[in-house]
Amino acid sequence: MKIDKVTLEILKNHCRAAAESMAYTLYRTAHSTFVKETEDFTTGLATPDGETFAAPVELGVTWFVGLNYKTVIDMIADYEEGDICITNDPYSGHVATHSPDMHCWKPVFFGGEVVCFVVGHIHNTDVGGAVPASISRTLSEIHQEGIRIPPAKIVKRGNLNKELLDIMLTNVRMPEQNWGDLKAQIAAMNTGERRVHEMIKKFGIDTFRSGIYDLLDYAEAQSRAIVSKLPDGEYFFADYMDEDSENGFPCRLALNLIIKGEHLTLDFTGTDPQIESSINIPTGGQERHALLMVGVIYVLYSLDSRLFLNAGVCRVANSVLPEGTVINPKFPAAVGLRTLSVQRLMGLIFGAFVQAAPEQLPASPASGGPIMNVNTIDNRTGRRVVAAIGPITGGAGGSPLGDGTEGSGANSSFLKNTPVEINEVEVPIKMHRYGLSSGSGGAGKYRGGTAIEMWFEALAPNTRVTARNMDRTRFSSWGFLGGRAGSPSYFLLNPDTNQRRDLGNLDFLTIDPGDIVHVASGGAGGWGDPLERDAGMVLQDVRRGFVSVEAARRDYGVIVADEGYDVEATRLERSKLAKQKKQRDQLFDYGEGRRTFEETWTRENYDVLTKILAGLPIHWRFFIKHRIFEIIGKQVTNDNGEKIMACYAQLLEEYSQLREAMQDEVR
Amino acid sequence: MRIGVDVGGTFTDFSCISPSGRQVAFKLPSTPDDPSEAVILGLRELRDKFDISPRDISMFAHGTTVATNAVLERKGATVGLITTEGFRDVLEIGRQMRQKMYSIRLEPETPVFLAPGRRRVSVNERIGADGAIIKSLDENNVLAAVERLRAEDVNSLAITLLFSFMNPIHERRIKEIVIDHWPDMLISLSSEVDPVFREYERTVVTAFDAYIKPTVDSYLSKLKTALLQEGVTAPLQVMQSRGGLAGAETARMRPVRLFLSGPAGGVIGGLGEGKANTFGNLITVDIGGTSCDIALISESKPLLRQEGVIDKFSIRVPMVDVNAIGAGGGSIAWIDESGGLRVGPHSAGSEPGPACYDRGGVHPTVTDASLVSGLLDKNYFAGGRFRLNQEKSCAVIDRYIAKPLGISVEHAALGIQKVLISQMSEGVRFVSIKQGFDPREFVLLALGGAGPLYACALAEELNIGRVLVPRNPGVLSATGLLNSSVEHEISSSFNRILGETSLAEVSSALSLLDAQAQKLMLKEAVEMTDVEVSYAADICYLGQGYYLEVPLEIEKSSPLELAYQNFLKIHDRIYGHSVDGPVRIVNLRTVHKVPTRSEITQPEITRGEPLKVHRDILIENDGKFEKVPVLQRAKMPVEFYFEGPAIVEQNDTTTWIPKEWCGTVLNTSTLLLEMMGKKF
Repeated sequence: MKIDKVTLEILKNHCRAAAESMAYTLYRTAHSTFVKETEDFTTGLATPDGETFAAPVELGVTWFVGLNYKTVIDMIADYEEGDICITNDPYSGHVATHSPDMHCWKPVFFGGEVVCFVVGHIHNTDVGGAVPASISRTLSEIHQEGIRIPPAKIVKRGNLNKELLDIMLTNVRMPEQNWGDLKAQIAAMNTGERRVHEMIKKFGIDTFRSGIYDLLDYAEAQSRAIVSKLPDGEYFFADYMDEDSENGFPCRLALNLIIKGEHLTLDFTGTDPQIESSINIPTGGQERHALLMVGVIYVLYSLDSRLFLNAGVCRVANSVLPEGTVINPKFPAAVGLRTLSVQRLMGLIFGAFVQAAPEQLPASPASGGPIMNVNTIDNRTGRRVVAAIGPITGGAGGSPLGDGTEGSGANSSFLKNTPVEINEVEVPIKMHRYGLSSGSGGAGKYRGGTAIEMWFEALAPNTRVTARNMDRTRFSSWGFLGGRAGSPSYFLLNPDTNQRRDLGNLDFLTIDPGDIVHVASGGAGGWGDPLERDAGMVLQDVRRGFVSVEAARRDYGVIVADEGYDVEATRLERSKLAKQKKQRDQLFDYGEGRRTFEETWTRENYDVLTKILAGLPIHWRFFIKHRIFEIIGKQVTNDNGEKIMACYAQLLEEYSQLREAMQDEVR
Repeated sequence: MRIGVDVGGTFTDFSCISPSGRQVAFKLPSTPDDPSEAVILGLRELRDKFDISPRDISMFAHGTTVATNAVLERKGATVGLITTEGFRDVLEIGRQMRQKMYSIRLEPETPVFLAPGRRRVSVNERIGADGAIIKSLDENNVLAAVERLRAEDVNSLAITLLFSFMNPIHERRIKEIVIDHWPDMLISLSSEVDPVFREYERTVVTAFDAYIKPTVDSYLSKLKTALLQEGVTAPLQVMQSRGGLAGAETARMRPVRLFLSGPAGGVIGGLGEGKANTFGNLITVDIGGTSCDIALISESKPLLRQEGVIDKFSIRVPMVDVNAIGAGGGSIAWIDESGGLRVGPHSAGSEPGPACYDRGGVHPTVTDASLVSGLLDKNYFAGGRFRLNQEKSCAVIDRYIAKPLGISVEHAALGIQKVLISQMSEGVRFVSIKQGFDPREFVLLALGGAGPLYACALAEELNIGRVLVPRNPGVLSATGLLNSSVEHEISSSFNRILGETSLAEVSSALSLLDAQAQKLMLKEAVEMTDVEVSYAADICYLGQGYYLEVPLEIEKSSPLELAYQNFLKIHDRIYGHSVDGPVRIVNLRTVHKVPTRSEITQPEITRGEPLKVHRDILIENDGKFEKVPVLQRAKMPVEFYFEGPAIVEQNDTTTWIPKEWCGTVLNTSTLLLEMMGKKF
């Protein structure tokens, strides 16, 4: 039964409000800094088969609109009223996507039957495992990433399952935080259940039952309408993460986006094999997995913000996910740091779509800045403190509408920062600087948003600092249609001293009193030709400290003089630069790091590599990739992959074990 | 004679009460270029038409949008911002909140316009988290900062140093230095404007304070002079955002507290209306042309929020908790791409207005739907001042709604109103349920031109059984000004664990606050013996990011224990649970107030037969028209009783009473509507 449009609109309001009131309950009751200040949580309502049909639009993280709980719902044999289930295991159904995310679902009963589920998750600051906060790039197996709870009832018929809770709390570093957050989740579930009952009372059970499916159809129809306006075609895009392991080689994500009518196909062939560090993205091969759809949802919503957000939106897309790759890893690959790779994945999707809608979408948002965690003893209390001191975000990409926002607006920035005045009270560190990073935004007619930088000093010995998600020290955020790439990110110890160390992509270090850490995200990409930027705006950027006098000349051809800019000199400089530039007129500017890398690794060469690796047993792929990279080194090879094939032939020769493994696989 | 004047965007409302309870109320068009003009015109009208001499005015209470407009129109000061070295960009970065979280096309969401990069300078100094001086102030830096800001033509200065709420010494020193070199500079110190932790929030409040200071300052002094010239000797009192009056002198010193001056008057008016009719729990719903303002009054206290919103920017100033949603009479109904019926947030405004105004509006609005369904009389809109074109309404509803959905015009009209009601009911739930209140225990107070039209339907949706319609629902804000207390609130950061602090410590902190509040009160024309003092504490569980305001009843035995118990109770109300655990007192607050005595107003009734005619009204469930009596409000005597369905007409609004509702005129001449058969 389809319910009428008027009732549907009203039901829609009620459902969203229900999900939002769950989020409010959770947000306001949660205990850990991470939840309360960064809003790393979700709430929602799902159909009896697990499709999320309503989620808040103003609270929580934005990654799980399309989440489907069906796999984990089915892992529980029977439900009774008052049950609440949890799981944080990425390999039990691929609902949890790294171990700190504790997902919760509660069946809502009416007349003895489950009519829907209220669902949600919280990112726990720590769930035990090898490192504080449970996440490090260096980890390679899921077992190192903390306790894993497969789908289980934490509350049975309204009674707390104390045994399960004790097991969980025994295995984590800050049990009172996890317990506080779990209580907030339980409160949110109960709020949701109450709201659903109110809706049933108001609309009647039949309307509610069919209405929730109509809401999914409704969102689907909206997103199909958006897609149908995009030109049909194939749009290829690739991007890299700096490293596939500690001191390793770049890790490539590739996407061929096929737009046909009102349907999207996302073919990820060309993406690197799964890796020996924790940036794999556990999709379980589900072609509409929530993490794959995040970027798609952002794009569709940006094209039309009237889109009602639920899992129905995802029905416009399907994906091709080669097994054993970063975007479809096999157990027990570590996944803790998938935050980093999902951000790159979102950027990848933007890069494909921007080619289909160049006058509507922005250049790449900034990324690469880490979430900083500190673990140390507070001199003032003698107590151990494990705390997130804030995400280091960056600005939004320049767009046809104007400059990117400064310092925030990147696709990770649903994360809220932590005030200095909370950090210094709760964590024994001294902040020296927290601000916008000069010269970081990519030049463009509309400039990319600036990066954020933070300087802080340790006050206690053995202060362990985690810089989770650190990336883009080598591969910058791309500029578009003549706009330049943003600046790379960086991570320094004791800058401006003779003990200065460039920490690159390091994500864990121990420092002592007096040591100073300086960390910055990358800047966002610019949009459009910088020479077309209004000279007055360039001048304003100089006065705000966002662009140096030298960069104004070099990138924008604007000659700054005393109180303003020299109009005539600027005109001459601009026409001179315009002539020079004619030669390299490309759609994207990727920045220096990637330009150098792609002198060796052209698209043709990488295609050959991908084909070779795809033919290998999964556990050999990462190894062979590394061997090939080592051998090829920095040679410039414009030979359609011949050198690479030769290199592979040599390796086959070298490793008889590989030949055996391949034969085994055939058998 | 007491007078309240509320200046709004379109109208300036006057409400006047004589000691005998005689009430005079009227509206004049506002004069946006100089809002005081309309005020003076009103005074002359009072003198000429109603024979009220300016000299007889004993109280002059004023609600103003001047602070809000300075922000909305970006007409404030050129503000310079001085911060701690290394933290110059706090204002720009903000907390990284996102209105549109799912969009990659973004606009700045922090009020950077207050002080863009070139007007933000930092100075070398540092106060630690415990208030100790870590690095002393570099005074040469301050001089350099002054020079730099002078070059930027700054005319108002905000100073926001880290941890200044723990130790304001550096902020104060900077102020001294600046004044030495720049004597006429206006200065706002964060340690005075908002001495509470979280540097971004504090910076925003302080910068807004600096931004609107010159505007508010010149407006209030101009008005004051003009009032004196007219012969008004009563002191000028201004409504503050949290719903208390302050003398103009104090208001000028703390301009950031004037943002919701107007709506606060409305809420206090609602409070007075409730009190006069012995209702303590009210939800006020003020429906105008473009928006609907919702506020909640619990146990005769308006709900406050510690952080308000102005022009989409969050600002940490106590305000009456008014939730404004984009749904009103002029809201446009439309069909989205998947065929869903939507109402608002776009509005036809007053120009061109709804299609039925016949002034070029081509989109179907809520008012068009109400006209089609018969709730509005095309010949008696706004007291018959202009005629509505029903054919136009039918045509646009048919074209844009009915045809695309394949339904009749009548059903479409009902649908539009239903969707509107659903949105408003979400707005009411937002203010009530989010705060842990059950709307069913409240009385709905219908305000604004369109409030009484939808109040019963909205009440039904929320399962609320009673609705109040004041005699003059359009000028309640002005009346509210008359009922307000003179009020001063001072708070400061305290930051102690409740179990680890003593009553003596709390009391001595409070007496410091009291001294400040007293100083403000001494400037008011009040008897100091009439001052009522109350205290409150902001309390949270250890590690929690958000706190709750809890009354601190210092005169009772073991007040801290009591406050803790109250915290648990309020926490339970709002969040549905509370557990024993250590809590922190984040801030302490004192509120000094002098209540205003309010007279009982005399109802004014014209003799005659209330029943005017019968009219065809579309009844919701069967989609058919039915003959319904139309009653005249002005002719309904006290205790007049009637049953729905009925329409009550008056100059400034229309009230719709559906089936199964009945109405009674109370002795205050307020109309009480009740769902029949519901027990209270």
